[in-house]
Amino acid sequence: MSFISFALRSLNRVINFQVGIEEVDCLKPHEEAIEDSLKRLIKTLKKCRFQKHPIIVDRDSKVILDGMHRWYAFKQLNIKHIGVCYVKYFDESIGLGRWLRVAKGTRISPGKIVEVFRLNLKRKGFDFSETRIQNIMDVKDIPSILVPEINVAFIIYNNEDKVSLFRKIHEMFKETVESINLKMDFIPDISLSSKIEKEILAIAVMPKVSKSDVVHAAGRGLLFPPKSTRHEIPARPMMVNFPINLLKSSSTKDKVNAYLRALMRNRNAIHISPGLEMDRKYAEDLVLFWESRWFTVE
Amino acid sequence: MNNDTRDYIFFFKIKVYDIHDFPIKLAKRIDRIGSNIKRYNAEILDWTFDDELGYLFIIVKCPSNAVENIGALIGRSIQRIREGVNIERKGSAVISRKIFASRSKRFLFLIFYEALGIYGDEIKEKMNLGYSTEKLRLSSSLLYICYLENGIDFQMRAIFDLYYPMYLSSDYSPSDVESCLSFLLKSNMLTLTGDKYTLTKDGESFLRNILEFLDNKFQQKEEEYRSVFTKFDRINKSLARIIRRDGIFEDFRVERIIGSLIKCGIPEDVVFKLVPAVTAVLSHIDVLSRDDVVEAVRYSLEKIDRSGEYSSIFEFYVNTAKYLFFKDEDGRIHPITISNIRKALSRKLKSIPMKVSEGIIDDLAAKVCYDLKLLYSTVSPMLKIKEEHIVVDKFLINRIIEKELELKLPYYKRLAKKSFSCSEVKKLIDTLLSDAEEEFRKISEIHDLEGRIRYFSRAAYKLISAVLLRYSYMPSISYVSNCSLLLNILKRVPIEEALVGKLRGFSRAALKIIHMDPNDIELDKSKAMKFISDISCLGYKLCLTLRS
Repeated sequence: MSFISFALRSLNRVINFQVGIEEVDCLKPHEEAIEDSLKRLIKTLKKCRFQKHPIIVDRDSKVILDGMHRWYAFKQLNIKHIGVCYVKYFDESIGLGRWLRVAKGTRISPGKIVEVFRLNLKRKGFDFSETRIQNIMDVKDIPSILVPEINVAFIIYNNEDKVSLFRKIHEMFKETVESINLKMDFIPDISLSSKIEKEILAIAVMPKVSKSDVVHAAGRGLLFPPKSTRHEIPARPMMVNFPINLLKSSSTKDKVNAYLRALMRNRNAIHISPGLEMDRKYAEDLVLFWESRWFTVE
Repeated sequence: MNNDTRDYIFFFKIKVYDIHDFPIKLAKRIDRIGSNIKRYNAEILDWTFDDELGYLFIIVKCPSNAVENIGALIGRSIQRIREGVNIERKGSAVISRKIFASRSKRFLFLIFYEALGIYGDEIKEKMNLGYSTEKLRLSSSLLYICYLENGIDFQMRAIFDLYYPMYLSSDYSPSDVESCLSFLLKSNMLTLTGDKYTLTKDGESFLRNILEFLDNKFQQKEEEYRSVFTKFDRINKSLARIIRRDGIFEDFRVERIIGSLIKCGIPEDVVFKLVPAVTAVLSHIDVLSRDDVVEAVRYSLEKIDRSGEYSSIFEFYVNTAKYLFFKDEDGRIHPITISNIRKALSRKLKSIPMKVSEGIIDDLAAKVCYDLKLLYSTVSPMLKIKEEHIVVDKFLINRIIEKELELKLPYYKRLAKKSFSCSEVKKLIDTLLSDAEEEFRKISEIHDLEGRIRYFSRAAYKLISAVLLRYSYMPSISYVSNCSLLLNILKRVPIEEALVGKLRGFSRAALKIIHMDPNDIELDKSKAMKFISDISCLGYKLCLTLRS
């Protein structure tokens, strides 16, 4: 193994991760990509000289946990290698949540929304029951469709494998929402614990997924719909700057990793506590691999 | 500074319409911000700008109650750089740890670690050690870090965890490091006081033995390279390919190092002492980056000259673009690089009615760049201390460009005048042709080969220059480049068939004659004399035809 092993000491714990270059073809996605985002990313990548941040991958199963779109983009661009950060997925420091689907848009009567969902659930062959939201013990744990304004919940009982059920609910929800001119959006499952925003007219609570579900599905080549899982990584290396020219190289994995190491030798590292906002808010520890503008530190 | 003073990282997203000269303006502006934030008891420690994503990171040491004001001040100040700069403050965060290892220490560690990979078995045998080579490599490395960093405390552990792994080529985990540290404590090589590991006397002597052994090995290698010094190929082949920051590979070329050192003004005796030392050091590193090569040269220069002047001159030379800038006609600032000077040169040459070959422009750009590097290398030790950059005066650059043009293109001054007219070119062509005609006519009167070659070359230079001028090309000072340029032009310029053929034949023959060695024993002198005489006849006739 020719990756660089790092350890980050944060809040009395040690987070281990490895940074290096991996062959694109040996990694396994577990989610589909959003077409528009992928097209935009490919366009941007064509102009880039560096892959800035590594994608996050489980070291043992080679399943991609974060950076799915970048992986699809590299694959479409026929780039042989990709910069990765290997983590131990089954370590308890890595959290796994879901993205829930929500309906937003111009206000229409909640009664109408309930009616359309009831009809579509039947039409699509879902096994479901109708109840009040407060009757569900733990609303996050049960796959359901919620209409919060009038306190209606459709509990889904289908006993299929996680990937199929996820896809079925995703497609039914999308179709239903679009049929009444609403827009489908995503919220993290943790936001169900807080007060639900007013403009959210309906919520699809997706099936709870375990790490084993993710690894098994990816191993069998099954893909969850886009934006299904939500991984919480305790520490993230950033600005590693893998040169695209090196990633395109036809050399062996060991060789390109040796060259990456030679390039990284001239970097400094900065450990940033959680809370930095860049393209999004990072709730995890960050390690910024830094190329100094000045030679201040001698 | 207050007690609650900490290191903060500020992060901004910047959009600019014309990113070209923005980083330079940004550098200047951040200098100014550095002075302005002093009123908050704050200082800028470092910054970096990612031009692809437009991310700007600035590390500031400041009291917590000043974070908001400083963030706003930075944003406002950068916004004011110029119209069209759109800056968005994304946030700031406390830095838990900043792991900035010194460049020279990193390099020392690198060569130490890599050399242990090569000589580990020999060391083990010599020192009669009972543990594995890998264990020797890791434990000696840890002792060496302790030595370089003057002990390792909790803060320094981050260097272990986040920095030195980049050097450890095997798959060492942090727990391997932990167990090795325990082993070193048990073996009385390290001692732990509070949270700080330091070297014991035993550890020091163990390390000294290894360092002495390695020093001998490096000297042997250096001797080896010194004895084969002229065989560059062997040295080049013995070293790995180099990777540049952008991921492009290039071959190691010892002649490039020699060339750069001499060009940047390092005395020749120092260069020839230095090169075997540099190659000996580099030959121990498995995979090289361009920065490693630069660092090896800098390291070896510092060993030779402890004052650091040579290494400053070298640093300035290899990274001129970091220090020297120039302003173009539109007031934009550009780093002094060959490609930027070339652009400025091409713009200047557009104003004259004659064409200049691309090859000559390339040479000129490299020469102007070199002139400026050399001129400013005098201040290089100062630049290293002050971390400043210099905007070279436009007047000076123009003067240097003008001078180089005059030297490289002998008719430039005459033809670049504002009062330039076509009749002037015709007059010049006519003078050149009549002079050449006269000289070709006299060639048969010269009876020694060396004299005949010299006399022919003078006449041929004038004839070829006249033909180039006729096709609106500016002849250069070089006879050979003019001949090659003419041959290229004749391939595509429409002209009467017979004349093209004769000019082509003449240019080829002229190139052959200039390369003749009159002292060459293999050369049939009477045949060569006749050949020159025949070509002179052709030259004479061409002059007559062209004049008519």
